[in-house]
Amino acid sequence: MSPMSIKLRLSLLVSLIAVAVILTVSIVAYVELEESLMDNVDDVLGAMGEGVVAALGEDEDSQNRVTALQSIVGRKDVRDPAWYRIWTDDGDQDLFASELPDDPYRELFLHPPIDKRPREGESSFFNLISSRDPDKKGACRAIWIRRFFGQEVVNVLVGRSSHYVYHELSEFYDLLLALGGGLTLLVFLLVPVFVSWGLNPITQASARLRTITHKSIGQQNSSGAEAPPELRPFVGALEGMLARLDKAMRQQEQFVADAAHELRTPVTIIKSTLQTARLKHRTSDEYEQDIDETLEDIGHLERLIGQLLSLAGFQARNEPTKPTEVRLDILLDGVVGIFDALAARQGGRVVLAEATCTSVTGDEDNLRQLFNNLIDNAVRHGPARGTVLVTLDTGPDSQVTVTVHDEGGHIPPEVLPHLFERFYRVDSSRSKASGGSGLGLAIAREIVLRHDGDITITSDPGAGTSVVVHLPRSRCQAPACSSRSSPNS
Amino acid sequence: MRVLIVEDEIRLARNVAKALTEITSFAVDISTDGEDGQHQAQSSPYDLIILDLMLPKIGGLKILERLRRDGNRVPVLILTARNATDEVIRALDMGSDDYLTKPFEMGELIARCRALIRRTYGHPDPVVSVGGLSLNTASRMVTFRGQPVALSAMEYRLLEYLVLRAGQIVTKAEIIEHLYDFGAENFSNVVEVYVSTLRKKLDPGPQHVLIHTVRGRGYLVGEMPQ
Repeated sequence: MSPMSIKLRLSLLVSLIAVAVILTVSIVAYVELEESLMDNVDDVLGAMGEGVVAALGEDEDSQNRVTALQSIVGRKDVRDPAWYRIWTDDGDQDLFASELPDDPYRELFLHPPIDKRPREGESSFFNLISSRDPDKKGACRAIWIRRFFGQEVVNVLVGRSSHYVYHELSEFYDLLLALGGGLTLLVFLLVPVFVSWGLNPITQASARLRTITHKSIGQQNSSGAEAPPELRPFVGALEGMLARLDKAMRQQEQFVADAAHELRTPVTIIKSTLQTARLKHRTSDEYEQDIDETLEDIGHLERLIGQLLSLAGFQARNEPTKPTEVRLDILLDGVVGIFDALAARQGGRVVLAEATCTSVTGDEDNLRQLFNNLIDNAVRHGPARGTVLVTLDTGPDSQVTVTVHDEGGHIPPEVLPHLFERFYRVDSSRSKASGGSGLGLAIAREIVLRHDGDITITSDPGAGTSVVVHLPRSRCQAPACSSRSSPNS
Repeated sequence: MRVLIVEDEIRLARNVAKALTEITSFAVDISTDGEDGQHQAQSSPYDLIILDLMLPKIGGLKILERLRRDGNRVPVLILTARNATDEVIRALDMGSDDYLTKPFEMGELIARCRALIRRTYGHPDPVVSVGGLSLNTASRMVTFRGQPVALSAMEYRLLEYLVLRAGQIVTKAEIIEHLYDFGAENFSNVVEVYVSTLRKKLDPGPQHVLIHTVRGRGYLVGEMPQ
């Protein structure tokens, strides 16, 4: 089940609160009105009751008393007719009584509810409502007074029609129903609109997010200021994410474009060689030469693919595969040995300056590739019959410094920062003369960065070119050194 | 016809040169960097330049720009490794005549070279006919008065040049410039030797009706101008 939408949640919440408020206000208003209307009736009833009691106290003959009582309680034909009964606790007969209302109220007047009976000397107000009169057409408000007259307790019951009150109340009830219902309806209709308006920034943001494709990802900016303050951090974080994604994607696209371009060159040469060979019949010597050239170009292609894969692999993985203690002095000695043998054929030399026992934590294969690339680079770009000098220093700080120095020519300072970029070559073209693919230094930098180190290159026409690699020194070197013999010993 | 290839991948340049020489009998020069390429393009009257864009020292577009600024009208075919349309548009707008994206079909490159050169000499039709001679620049078939004529590569090269420039007087110096690559050893009398062998095959008889000699100026194929 999908979660409820925020719009629905907010609309429901706000609507429920609104309905509760409307309901409470309506109930309170209704109760207050009822109370105040009843108070009015009670005031009149109280006055009537006191009048009746006072009239009973006067020494008059019965006929006069009846007239007096009648004048107090009022005439029968007014809007709110009134009735009364006066009897003693002991007597079976009423002392005085007006004409009583019709059934079912007659019965209620003759037998008022006993739980409403006040104590002697006191009075109580109550409603006389018959269950057989659901419309409350004949409903009465009554006052029951019990007073001592001499030894006797005289009961005075005065009832006054409260139909008018109930009529008013029912009208008010209808009004409340209409008003409250209308308001509730309005709330249910308007709240979603307001909530939508309130959520507009989110809707807009999501609409904008929906339009983002891998092509337009970098063009999402300058909208953070438009967002409401609460959303600004969210929008800012999103934009940051988009910018990072965009950068990564651009790098990836550039990499793919560069890789395709690099791969295209050897493919073009191979294709042209084979197509030229097919132009006419040739001698077997010519065919052999074409095959050899093609194989050589395929070898170049293979190396290129290998380098591209290792570069892509570095970027895919986050951690070095298997960090171990690597004896850098032993590793360098091995790499230098191999390259010295290769360089010797052209009359060059690769020399490792005296190296003390040093170890770093990292991936041995990666580190070997790093120094392979650096020394290979130095041999290829250095002068023929030149010397490549590799030095390993452990400074007082926790860093290991490896310097690969060749006697090569001056690299212009403006191109130095670009040397570690993929496919970058100093002469801006393929340097088939030196056989480089333009990836060696890029791979070297990836490896150094993965080992938390840094790599720099300096070039000076007089002094030659130096690549300096800093790597963090391994903390526990003593056991590693004591367990193995030094390469120089 | 003489073609200059400016391409830093020496093996690719050599393959193209070999194919052009074998298939079209063009004379081909190769230059592997921009500086040398520009110098050669400016100093010799090439019939076509095949120009790579990514070159050491001076880029291909720069060379193109300078050639056109100097008023050089040589057709230029661009080779590009990037399949970027905007780059192609830029190259065409800067005065190049055609382009090919690497890797390309050798056959296509050769056909485009032929077409460009044909048009430079005002012959969109691959078959050029003059005075009973018919020369198909695409198949290199030559017929004279309906009879096929077998020619050596050098003879064809000379005849093609003279026929494409039919009606114009062609000097010996122009012939040497357009038919020999930079490395060829050329002697001025070589031209006379090839003209005479061509005449033997096409135009025998005391009175030359096809290849006329304009005394002191050069040769002419077709009608003598009045």
